[in-house]
Amino acid sequence: MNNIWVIFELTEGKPSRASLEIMGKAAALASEAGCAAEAVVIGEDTGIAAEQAAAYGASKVYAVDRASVLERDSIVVEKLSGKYAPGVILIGSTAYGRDLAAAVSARLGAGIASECTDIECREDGVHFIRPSYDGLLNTDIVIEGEPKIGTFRRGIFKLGEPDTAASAEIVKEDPDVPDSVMLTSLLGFTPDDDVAKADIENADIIIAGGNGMGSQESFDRLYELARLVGGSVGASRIAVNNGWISHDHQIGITGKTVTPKLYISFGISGAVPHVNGMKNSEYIVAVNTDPDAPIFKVANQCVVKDLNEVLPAMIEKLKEIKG
Amino acid sequence: MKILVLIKEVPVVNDIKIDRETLTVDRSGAGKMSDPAGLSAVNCAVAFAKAAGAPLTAMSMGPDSCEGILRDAAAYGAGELVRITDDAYAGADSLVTARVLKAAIDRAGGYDIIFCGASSIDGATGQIGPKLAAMLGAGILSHVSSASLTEEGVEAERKTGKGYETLSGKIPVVISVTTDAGRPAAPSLKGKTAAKKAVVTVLDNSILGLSEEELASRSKVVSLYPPKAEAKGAVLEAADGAEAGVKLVDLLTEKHYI
Repeated sequence: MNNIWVIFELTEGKPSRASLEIMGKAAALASEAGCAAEAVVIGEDTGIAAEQAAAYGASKVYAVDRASVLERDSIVVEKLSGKYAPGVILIGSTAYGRDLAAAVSARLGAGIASECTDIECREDGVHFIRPSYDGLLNTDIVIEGEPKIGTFRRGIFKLGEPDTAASAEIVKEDPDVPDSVMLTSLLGFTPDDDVAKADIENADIIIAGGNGMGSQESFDRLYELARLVGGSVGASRIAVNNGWISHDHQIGITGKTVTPKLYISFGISGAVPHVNGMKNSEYIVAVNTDPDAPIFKVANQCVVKDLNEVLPAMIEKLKEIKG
Repeated sequence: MKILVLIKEVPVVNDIKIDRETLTVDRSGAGKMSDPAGLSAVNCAVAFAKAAGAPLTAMSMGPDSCEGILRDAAAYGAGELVRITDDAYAGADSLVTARVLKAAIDRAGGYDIIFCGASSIDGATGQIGPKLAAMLGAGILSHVSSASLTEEGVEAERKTGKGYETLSGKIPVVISVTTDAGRPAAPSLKGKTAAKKAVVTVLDNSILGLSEEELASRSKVVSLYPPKAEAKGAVLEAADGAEAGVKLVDLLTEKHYI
């Protein structure tokens, strides 16, 4: 099989977490398939990202030292792909990555599987797995021709340990791209408290509530626990549909994918769509009265008790500790 | 200036029945609706057309039934309606769909601003906007929660991380819209009358003329299967919920998670 590429996304020279997670996965796949995992890094300063790409398994890094602009980057990837013919191109499914992947697919006429939850190398080739029918079924997708493009959200793959001793061959590239393609630009950024509170994708601790919370009043107690542990509040789809919290806090296939260090769920049964959005959290605690709730299958610590007793006791105990 | 809005008919997901034993998917009982993000795209497009005094076309690819959502768009303010359909387009992946839409757009002589939904509730691939932009050589402002016309082109806001990005784009531009952009207001009586009278232009492949090669989907679904269940974690032993709560705090403190 031809090589596996990961297109990195950089913010002020630093690679996104999704880029690194996917690089690690690409390296594992490449060693199975007997090919190389390589990174494409576009940015004003590609040094740090190239080092990190190597630490997560890239044997070669194509470094394009110029500011990253979506429309231009898609042409850069198109040209590099034409020159080096990768077999697979993997991209993080972020605001930038989604559009980049779509544009590269359109330019190359290459098939794409977007928002996948897994990728496998089998004897008959590469298979992309993505949830469908609201997560009740997985869809197994194969793509004809090369390159095959796949996108993955942050948190789909676990971030491995970097090998800081590893090094990669750096290939400087500067394909010719007309300036006329710079059609959109970022003018600025306005912080917003409500949006920030819902930034659960970057939270270290998430306290999540589901239908089992029973009422708005009960759901609102999650904020107190979240405040005491410095966490953010998330929710299942039913809790959002009940009107207890806005959709920006929804975790799962139709919401956000999260990977906090600690995830505590209250009254969430753990239907597949939800679990797909949180199963790669580092440590998962689930509180639910139903011992057969599917959430317990991904939990590290199962608490088969009434959340109406557990939650107040946790809040009391934490207040005691914090004085 | 010419403005286009792309809309899509989707099944009501909750109506779809899946037999867990046989893994068969029954969509026959599922109702049809306009994709919610597409409706928000209509909302933005109607506002742009009003502000610019520009004609608005609504376009959809799908079977006869999708004339319903096109007529709804007419009621909200679209003056021209186009439906694209052909047996050869059935099962088109996002690449083929974008090619077909581009052919219809080229046939109309192009548009200055093209709105679409950022991500539909059924496919949810979010591909059409950025793919079309790349094919048309237009800019892309994706997943925006609001957009407005400026002297130089368009400005849009996108919710991201801890706030809003302000983006700008020159014309021609494709703008993909999230449901944050709201739904169109209920149609006026005049709008409803216009919707009834509106003529839907139907385009098929004898008109759009895509080749067999261009219509070959590259991605294929080889199977559907249920996700595998994982092993259960440790159970916290406690006499009651209150004791469990205290033990949990101790455990998480000990593990340095809190």
